[in-house]
Amino acid sequence: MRMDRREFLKRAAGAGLAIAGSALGAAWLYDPRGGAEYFRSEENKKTASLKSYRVDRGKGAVEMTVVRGKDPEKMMRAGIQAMGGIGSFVQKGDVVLIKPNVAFDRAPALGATTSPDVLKAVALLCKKAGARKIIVADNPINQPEGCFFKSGIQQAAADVGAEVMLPKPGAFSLVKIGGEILKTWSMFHRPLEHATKVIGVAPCKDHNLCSASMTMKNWYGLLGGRRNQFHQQIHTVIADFAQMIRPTLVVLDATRVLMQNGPTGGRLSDVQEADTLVIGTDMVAVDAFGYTLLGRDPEKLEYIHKAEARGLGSTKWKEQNWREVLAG
Amino acid sequence: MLLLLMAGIGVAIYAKGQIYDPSLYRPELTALSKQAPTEAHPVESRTDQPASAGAQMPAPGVGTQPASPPGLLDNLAPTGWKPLENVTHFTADTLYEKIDGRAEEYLDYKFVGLTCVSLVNAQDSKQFIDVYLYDMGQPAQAFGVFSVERTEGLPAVTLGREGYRAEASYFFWKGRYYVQVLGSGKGAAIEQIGLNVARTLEKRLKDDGKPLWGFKALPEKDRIPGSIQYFVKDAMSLDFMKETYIALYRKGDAKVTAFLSKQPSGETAAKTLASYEGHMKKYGKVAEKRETDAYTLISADMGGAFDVVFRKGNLIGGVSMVEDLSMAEKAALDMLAGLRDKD
Repeated sequence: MRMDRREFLKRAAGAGLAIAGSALGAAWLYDPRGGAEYFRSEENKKTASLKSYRVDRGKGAVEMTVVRGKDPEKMMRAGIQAMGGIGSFVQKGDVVLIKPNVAFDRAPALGATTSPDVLKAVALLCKKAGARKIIVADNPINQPEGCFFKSGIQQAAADVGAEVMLPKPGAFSLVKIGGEILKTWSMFHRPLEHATKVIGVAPCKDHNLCSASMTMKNWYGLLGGRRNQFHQQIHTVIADFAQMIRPTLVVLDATRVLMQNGPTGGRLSDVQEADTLVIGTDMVAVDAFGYTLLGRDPEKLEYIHKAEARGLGSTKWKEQNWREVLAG
Repeated sequence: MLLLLMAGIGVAIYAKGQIYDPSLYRPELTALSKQAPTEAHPVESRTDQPASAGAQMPAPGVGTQPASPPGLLDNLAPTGWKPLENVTHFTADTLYEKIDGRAEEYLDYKFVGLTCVSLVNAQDSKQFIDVYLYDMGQPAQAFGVFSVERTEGLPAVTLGREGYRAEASYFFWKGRYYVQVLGSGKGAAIEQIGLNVARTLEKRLKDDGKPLWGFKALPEKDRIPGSIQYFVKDAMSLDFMKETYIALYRKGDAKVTAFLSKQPSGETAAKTLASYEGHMKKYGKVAEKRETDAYTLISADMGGAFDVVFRKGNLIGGVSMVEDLSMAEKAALDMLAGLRDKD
């Protein structure tokens, strides 16, 4: 087939335009980053970060109170009063997330979950301080409805007008944790998005794998995904939680202590009434003290020392500004 | 055509580039990899499914298939009570969903399946009874997990091969099953309801009644009832002591812990004995090592208390932390003599 000059120039120009277009397109799409780096940075755009929920109370503020008594409401009031009053932590208009441990569908008496009476006491104080909304949230893996019902937490929340937020699909986001093992992970994030203040309320109990489950371990309950794989290096992962979240306050509920067969329990004979609440701003210190309530030596609790080594708190609670209070 | 093809490839590459590959965002698995992934502990990230809470919350009764015969937990509710939800099932892979933090212990004992049901008082929803039926595959595994969870001093109840009560909760094992019937509180009424539920279930469970090896092999004389335990690993907190039966004996005013383990071969038993001897040398002082054609026996002062360990064929046994050396040696030699008759 013969081609005249005009036709040749037309086709050559077309081919040139196509090649130039491809080159420009490639240049536009070209990214100097390596594949993994590219995907990571893309994902980071979708990854949430947790803000700090701590409040600055100035130097000399009481950091921890150990409250002894029988009535959780009076105990909470007295303990918080010794720390400067609830107004130091929660202000009018705040949205407060209370994170209990509702990990199992157990009755409250079995000590495997946060006491509903302690949860109520915390929520009532927040209401008194003028909190606009109180959210109660946890992510029990199996049938959250059953866990909230049987633990009595659902009823306790309803009694004080708090909203129970269940871990529904869509309430999870990837969150940058930045820990030693936990870098970025799926988390029950929606309640944290809404909250301006966060209070962890954890039972004090024996744990089969990490010896004790207290305020630091409590945050494990916000993780999504197949989180049991973290049991392999559980002490490092628990220390990561202290890095992950800076709560406003933590409360260690040692009104009942599950002394053995934790974390699930099941025998009332394993539960000891310790009639104690430990309230504090330093989870490491609170857990160090809490471990003594299990009759164990805090020197031997690996995760609090890992957290301390990272500068996330102090195991030397005696050296802190703390008070012991008798109430009710 | 060629240009169209190129453009198509370009579009395909671009589209692929927009798809997030979750394998790139796993946690630092090297930090976790001291224990190699197994079928029971797969290391996988679900960060591609942040909203996978739905998968974490199986609808009641929609779990994996039960390992034990179906229907064992059907119609358990006594008069005035009703099931709170359908029967649920868990496998080794999903057990953590039900008892997160405790699942590993059951997996060590070669757990097969868990079937659960909750019963609630129709008049008072705060009163409920949870029934956990653990299929442990073999009677020894069922007994093992029952024994290590048992709290000392709780009243025995005639249920299955062995059972006990903690307020309104009942625990027993029968055949390959370990059963927990957990009452939500205290009181005679719920205690009785719990017992009725436990008895109904007990009748449904099969058991060949064959005694466990450890029960036969450990001496009966002076044995404290209900004190036998079976550890698949870490018996007496020693990582080399595997598949070991332990029992307490009353010798005068003192309590003596005796142990016995059947190893797969004489060679394995010799290795275990060597590990025990190493432990004695590290944390105590070996007092005597006696070797005969029939057995090897080593005694050691472990810092104020004495351990005596022996090996006979593929058996490892002995006594631990006995205040008096002669008492410890006598107890160990008595055990050895008994083994001659039984093994």
